[in-house]
Amino acid sequence: MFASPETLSARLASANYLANEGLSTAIFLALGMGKPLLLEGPPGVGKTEVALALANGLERNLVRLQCYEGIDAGHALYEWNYANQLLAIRQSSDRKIDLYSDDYLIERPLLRALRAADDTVLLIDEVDRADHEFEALLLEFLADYAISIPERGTVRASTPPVVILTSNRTRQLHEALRRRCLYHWIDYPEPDMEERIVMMRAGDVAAATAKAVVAAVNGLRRLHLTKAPGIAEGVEWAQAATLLESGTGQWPDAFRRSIGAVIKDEEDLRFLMTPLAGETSADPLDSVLVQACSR
Amino acid sequence: MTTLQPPPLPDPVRPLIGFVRYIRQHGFTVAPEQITSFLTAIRLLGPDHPDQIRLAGHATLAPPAESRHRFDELYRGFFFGEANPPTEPRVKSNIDPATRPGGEDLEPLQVSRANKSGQVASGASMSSLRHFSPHIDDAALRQLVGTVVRRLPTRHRLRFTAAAEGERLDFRSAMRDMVRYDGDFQRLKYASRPEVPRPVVLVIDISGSMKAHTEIHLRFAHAITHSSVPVSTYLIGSKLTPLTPIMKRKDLQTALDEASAYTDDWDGGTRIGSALDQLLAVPCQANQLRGALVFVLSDGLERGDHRQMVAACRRITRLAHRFAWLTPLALDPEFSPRTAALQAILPLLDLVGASGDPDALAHALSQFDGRRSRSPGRRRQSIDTTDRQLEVRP
Repeated sequence: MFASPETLSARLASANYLANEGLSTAIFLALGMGKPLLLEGPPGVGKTEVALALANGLERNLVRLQCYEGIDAGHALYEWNYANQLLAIRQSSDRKIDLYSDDYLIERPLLRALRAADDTVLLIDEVDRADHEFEALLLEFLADYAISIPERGTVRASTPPVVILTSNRTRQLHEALRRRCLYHWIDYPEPDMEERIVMMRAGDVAAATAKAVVAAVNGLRRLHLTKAPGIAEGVEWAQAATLLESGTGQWPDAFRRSIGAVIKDEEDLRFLMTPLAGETSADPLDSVLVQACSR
Repeated sequence: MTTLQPPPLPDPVRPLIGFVRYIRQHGFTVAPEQITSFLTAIRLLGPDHPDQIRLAGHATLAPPAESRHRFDELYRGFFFGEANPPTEPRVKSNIDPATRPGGEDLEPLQVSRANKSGQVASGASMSSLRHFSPHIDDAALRQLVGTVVRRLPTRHRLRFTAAAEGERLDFRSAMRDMVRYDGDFQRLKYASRPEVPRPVVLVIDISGSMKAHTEIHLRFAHAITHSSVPVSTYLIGSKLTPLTPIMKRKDLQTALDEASAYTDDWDGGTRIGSALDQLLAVPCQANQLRGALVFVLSDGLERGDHRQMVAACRRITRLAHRFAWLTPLALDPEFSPRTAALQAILPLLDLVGASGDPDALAHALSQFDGRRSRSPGRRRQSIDTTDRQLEVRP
């Protein structure tokens, strides 16, 4: 599919995703070995975006399965259209009907991805939100890329599909699932990489603004807030501050007024706005912004 | 009879397999299929640069995020002969500290130096070991706990299963019935969401001031772990120690022996705020608190700045279904929370109760009787001592 991780990285960049060497190597290996790729990392570092960019880069459709507690086979694999089946039975009288034809089959994301394996990227998003039973179901799917439908037989993928799983690590995934996948931990990017991401994503944002935003976001991450800002929040902050500044040159003020774009926890906001001990008016947010804007 | 010998490894593969063995010796878990993936990945990558072996290792051997730095050090140590990587203490099971060389001398010395008041937690930590009394029969405690946990609050699972009565029709089952009976409709089928017990999280203070009660708390943790509710157990002293896998050992004595060797901050100082922060810092641990009944078994003696403890308790209150603070000081009928830390967290708690005694612990559990409060509703705050219960105004 790709000659090297570097060519893959270039293709992802053309789809507006900047991947570092570790991530591009992991994706390259997943494609080459026909194995699913499990991406873990803090929220907001671009795990889901990998699948979107890969689908764009490979010119495939993205099939997304959003996991949640209580998700089961009926939501993930397939379901029969029982209401239509009941009606068909009532209307058939003595006529013979095939109740298990495609007319009554509702394809869910996993089956849809399996039937069009050459043309899709399957994203199983936030798998840590699902429960253990669903994880066991995924094990079976990821091992053989096949789904057994008792009434129809086994549906098997013609080629191994491209599968990306993401997890925020709100719970530990089962070792068996991790073993079946290739693995990559996506951390917050290095500042220069994050500046390039902000420039690429935010559109009309000056390089100096991107630099200041990244410095400020990194400053906030060091404060051990309840919810550390992700990359997406940084991009939105750059956009919001640019809108508010609109040529006035009041950068720290623009950043301060648009803080809601980056901090979304009441306790964190209160902490950032509380004056520091021994200071008259400066608070932690001031310190972060002054340092970031002076760069 | 001839013995089958495995074929010798090809020369280029030998160091790679050697590396896998090396990291296994240092505590990393690697399954055989991961080794195959590792070798395939290296073949795919070339490799034209030594760093690609490291990246292939990251992708296929899947070191956890916390251990990736150590994995890299092992990689450099193995392939480039750099300085020996730091070794992490590995858990040794079934070890009685008294049987260790010098173990007999350790405990009396360190216990005598232990901070008995629990109020003087300093920045320095002191290692200490702990013995537990042998041959304990816990049948009575288990029976007591087993009776109480049956009445703990439950929650609905989100998944529907077939039931005699339920909140929605089960079309799948009805359709199968119709096929079975030549298209004739037999009777309505239902699906419902079964009730499951809410998880319990126990946070046990093992500092010097709690020394007299640590053993009964651990016995209680073991008993409730082996009841019908899912339980996670953590120890807090000068640090946080997850103890759930050890409490799952069937034999109490084995569990206590392993617990004693598992951490080294028994009967020392206490940093409750910092330990609770550590509990909340790891997402999979914090997630265990979500919708759970959280019991902190501690005297709450946090001297100095207690803001960290209050902030952590505030987060726990928001995550947990119910949050109780059980202190042995409440065994005294005249008890009322006097320390600044306990007073500060009082509005965040659903219950302040007694611990340190099997009956008191069972009594505290029974305060969350699921039959009395089926829905989450408004939190009821109370101080519960052994023989009285005071409502607290928020």
